[in-house]
Amino acid sequence: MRMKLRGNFRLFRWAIQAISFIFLVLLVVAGVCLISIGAFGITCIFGALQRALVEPVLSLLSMLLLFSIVPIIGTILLGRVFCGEICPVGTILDMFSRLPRIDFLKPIANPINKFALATGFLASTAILKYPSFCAVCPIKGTCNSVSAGALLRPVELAVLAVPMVLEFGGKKAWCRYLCPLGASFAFLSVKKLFGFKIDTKKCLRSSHPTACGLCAKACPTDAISEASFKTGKISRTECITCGRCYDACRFGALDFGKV
Amino acid sequence: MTERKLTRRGFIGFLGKFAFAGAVLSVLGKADTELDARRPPGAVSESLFASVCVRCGECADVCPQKIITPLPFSAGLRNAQTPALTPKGICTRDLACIAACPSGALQPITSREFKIGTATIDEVECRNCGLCIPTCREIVDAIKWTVDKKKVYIESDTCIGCGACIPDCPWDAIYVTGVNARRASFKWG
Repeated sequence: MRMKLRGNFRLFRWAIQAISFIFLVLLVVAGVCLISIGAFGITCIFGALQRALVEPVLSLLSMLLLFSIVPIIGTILLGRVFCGEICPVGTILDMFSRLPRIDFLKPIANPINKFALATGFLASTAILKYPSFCAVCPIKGTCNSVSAGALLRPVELAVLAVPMVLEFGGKKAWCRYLCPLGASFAFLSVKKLFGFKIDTKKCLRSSHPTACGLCAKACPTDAISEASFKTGKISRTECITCGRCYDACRFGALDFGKV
Repeated sequence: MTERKLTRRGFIGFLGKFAFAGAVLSVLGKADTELDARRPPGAVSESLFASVCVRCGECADVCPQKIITPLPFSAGLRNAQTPALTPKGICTRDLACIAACPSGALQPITSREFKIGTATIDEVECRNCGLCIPTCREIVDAIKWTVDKKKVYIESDTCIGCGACIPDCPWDAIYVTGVNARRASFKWG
């Protein structure tokens, strides 16, 4: 059943998603991987991390510090805002949010898996001496799938099939359980400064343990747990700052602010 | 809406999954083979190239001759989607690929530094007709007669690997590989 939404954070999210999708997929050459602005630039932090393992001196100095400064500081401030608002794969998965779901994700449905996969890829990168995840990265695939020369690139679109198939198992299953970029953003947002939080004075469920729970139902990443209603804290590593909880709450109990 | 805390059991599970994923991925990647094809001009050293290249495919798009192709996954995970020149492609040295590269995997070079590979003559197939010599004379003059004018040979130091001689050969006796290409050193900006 569709519930009536009260907040309007989604309009903001859609605007950001549309702008960043057009910018990253259609306009910028390498998309998320590398946006070069003269000698300065913005790189994917997982890509920079992998390159730092391959070429420590070169990458740590130039790439990680100079080129990833924007995503690193942005994540420390705002958490996984990239996952919720900017990532083109997330935008595509949002378009298919009303898919019929098939329950086949039990074996991988654990948020720790993304950290395991990320560190696994980092270990293989260190051994193999090249960024092994970048070869199969669906975000890179999406960013590069459209090009002036060959309108839609088949190989890149094939890589995108992995999160698409997982999406049948649950909302944002790829982002929650497997994405190494999500894992690195989650790692950086452990101590994030700003994000959504529950005002326990206004929240109905804080005083009535079986009531409401609309925000937790709306949350695509299960970031709102039973403890959240008591403490007002939403999981910092799982929350992607998409604002669905804010839109779903009928009591104005969700705020964006210092967490 | 489940409680989530990192328990000891969960952490051990994480370590196990991490070790498993790392081992599987490393074994998968180890199946890589040496690359024989030419890289686009200005490419940094092969070990660095796979690391720096973001595999955006822009060089392949802007190439006027359309001779740059992203390698397929059968070339190994390491080289998959990285650009390489087609075996019979002729590079006209307009260096549009270097201008398009956003990552620094293709470094700016001068035309004197251009050497993307080396042409080799298949001694069995070659009939020593000399048809390839006039083409190369206008470019770098690397294909020459031996002193007694009986055999054609390629000076591997002078050859820049552009591949212009390939269509001249009626016997398909010339092939070009990325061997001895002059690789640029990596720098940002």
